[in-house]
Amino acid sequence: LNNRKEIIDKIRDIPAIPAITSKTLKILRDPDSDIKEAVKLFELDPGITANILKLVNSSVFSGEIKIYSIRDALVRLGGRRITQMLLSSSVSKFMNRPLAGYELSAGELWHSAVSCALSMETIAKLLNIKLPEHAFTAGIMHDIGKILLGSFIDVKSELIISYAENENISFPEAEQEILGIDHAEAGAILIEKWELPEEFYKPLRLHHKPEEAEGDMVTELVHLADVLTLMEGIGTGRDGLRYKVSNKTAEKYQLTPSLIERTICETKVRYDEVKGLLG
Amino acid sequence: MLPLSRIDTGKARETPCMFTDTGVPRLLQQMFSFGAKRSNMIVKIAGASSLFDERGMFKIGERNYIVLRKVLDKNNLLVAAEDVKGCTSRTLSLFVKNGRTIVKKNGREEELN
Repeated sequence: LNNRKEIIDKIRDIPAIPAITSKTLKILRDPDSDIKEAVKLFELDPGITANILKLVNSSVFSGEIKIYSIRDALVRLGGRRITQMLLSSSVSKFMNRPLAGYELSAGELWHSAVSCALSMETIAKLLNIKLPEHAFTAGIMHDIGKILLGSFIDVKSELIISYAENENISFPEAEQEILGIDHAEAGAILIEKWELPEEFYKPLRLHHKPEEAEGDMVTELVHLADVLTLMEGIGTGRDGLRYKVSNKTAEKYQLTPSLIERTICETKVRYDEVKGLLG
Repeated sequence: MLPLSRIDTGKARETPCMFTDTGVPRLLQQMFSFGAKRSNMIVKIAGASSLFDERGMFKIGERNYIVLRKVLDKNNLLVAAEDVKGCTSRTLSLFVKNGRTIVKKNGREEELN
């Protein structure tokens, strides 16, 4: 008997993302919307305003120009970029908690999320690829389904691991077999509940099966960045390194061992620069 | 941790412990400078896990292990025990008081002897 229904039911208990995030998301996605409305929303929440200004002025997001107001941030970086930041800071509270089952202590899932997102940016930089705006947030959110599966894995971890070992399959494949759902699908269902834009669907749902993403670049890069993050030992718990690498995707981007190592090295340097900043 | 510092020699000077070929010699030097003797040293290794990777391009753990063995060879140090490779993550604890080493993996703790 698997837990698919229970797990999907549990999505109801996950709180909605903050109202300001979903409202801003709606305003900024509407082509007829007025930027003033978004600015008004932010003004109601000084905490978020402060966070956004801290982020936009950090080395992660901006260049040399100092940004002092939300209006300025919206004009200079664009609504989409700001939305991504809002989303990232909204999900951080869910991902900062300890995670049973996967045996991750507080902050480990968030650490791996940030590393994955930064790793995507490093790969893109080294390969001279321009990333779509939603790439960073997709990297941040790719494993969010783990917060739904954790307590179920906690009960069945022996079974999942021994099944995976005996069948010589990956951890997500064993999740699928034993629980009836894997963390990738659970994450995709969660973001549907949150009514997030559909461009996040594939990167979450298919980050362990990038060949099925019909060439969606963000899904492919989330896969590669996730693999590199795991290889560093970041966010590896009970599941360990029991994940499959898509060689087809690695070949598509012409990765080499030396490029992989440079990516890990540069990502680590950037992570150390921003870790205080991203909570 | 990465196997070889040649990918970023500047970074290796700044943070040598990021790379096996600069980090482990640094560890040994420090130990010797605090008075450690080769003849008293007991070396145990845990780690070097890898992903499911048919072509081996991502097997950094195994490459770390190869470089580590070379560094140890160069320093005439033998390995007393090891628990390496596979795809589980391991946590290694060293009890400074008595030298006991415990590997935690797959939810269990085992003595590394």
